[in-house]
Amino acid sequence: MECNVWNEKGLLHLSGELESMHDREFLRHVEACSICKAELDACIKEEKAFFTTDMLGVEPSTAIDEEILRVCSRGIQPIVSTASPFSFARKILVAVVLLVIGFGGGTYFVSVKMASQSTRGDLPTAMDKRTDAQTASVATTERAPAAALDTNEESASLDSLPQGGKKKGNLSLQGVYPVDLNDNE
Amino acid sequence: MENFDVDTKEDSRLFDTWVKGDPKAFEIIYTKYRKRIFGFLIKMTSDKGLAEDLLQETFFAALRNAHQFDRNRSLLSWFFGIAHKKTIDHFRHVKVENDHQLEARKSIGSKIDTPDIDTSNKHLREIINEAVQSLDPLQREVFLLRELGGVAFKDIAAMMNCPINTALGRMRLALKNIRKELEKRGVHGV
Repeated sequence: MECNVWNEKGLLHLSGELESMHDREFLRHVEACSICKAELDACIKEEKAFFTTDMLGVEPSTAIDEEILRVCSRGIQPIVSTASPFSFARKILVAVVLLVIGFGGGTYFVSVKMASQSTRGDLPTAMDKRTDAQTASVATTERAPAAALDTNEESASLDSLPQGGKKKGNLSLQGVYPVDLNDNE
Repeated sequence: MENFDVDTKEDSRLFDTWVKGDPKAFEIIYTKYRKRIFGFLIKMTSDKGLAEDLLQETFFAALRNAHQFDRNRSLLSWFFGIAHKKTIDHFRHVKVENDHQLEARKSIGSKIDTPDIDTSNKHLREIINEAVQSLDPLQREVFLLRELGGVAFKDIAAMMNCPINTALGRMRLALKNIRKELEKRGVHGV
């Protein structure tokens, strides 16, 4: 059997959370209620005999004890700066010097590399570009007849040449062939 | 919870001394509460190694957040609040709470070493711990917070994010189920 008063107030009484007026009311009720009295007695005895540190508590290992004591015993350590103003200025100076050396060295290295490449001919110069242009135009002229030759399927056949006519070379080129000024046909 | 000198003022004094760097003050606090906190952690996790890690984290967190401690409150309750949060965070991260519950039922008492208890009490201790481990996880949580940590029910309700009546209900059921288990094993009342 259960008592609603125990359900509402019993455990709060045991934990000391009831306000004093409600606590006094509860104790008056317990005197008159056998259910609440039995329940209260049982809880008090169980707490003393069963629900103790010895019964429910567990020892951690020695190693973990030592570690926690080692780290936490010191409390909160304040952060104290030991650097002087001069050391800060020195650090800035060193940083600037390193920056200048790094920048200067890098620039020198790049310029040396570029000079050596131009000496070997790796880099295109103005003269090279003009020569390239001339080469390119000659290549274009030679390439065009070759391109026409490749694409014209009928050009390779001698049968397609006009009968009895002078052969205009070995090739029948589409509109492009050596002109024979003495051709009387 | 047993009355064993939970002196709030003395604890606050020791706490302040500790935070300022007195190793002796911390040693007193640690020696006083370590078994309870570790008992809570090992019963919540059923894993001694994990419980030791969480024990470390609890005290490290307490040191880091010393400024948040309300000197009018119980120091033990505060430690338990941190330990509870660490445990919940761990399970949330690992997401194996159900597996741990199953393991708790399988390995009841097997990982809990009790070299400090004399033989006569050892059997009773095992029975009590088995009864506690057999509880529903939520009931076990409320029970341990209350009995080991002395945490007030209103604080338990806040920690578990439930109404105070729910916390009270879980505690009533926990006590009822523990008594049933004790009776099954031949421990009839006190």
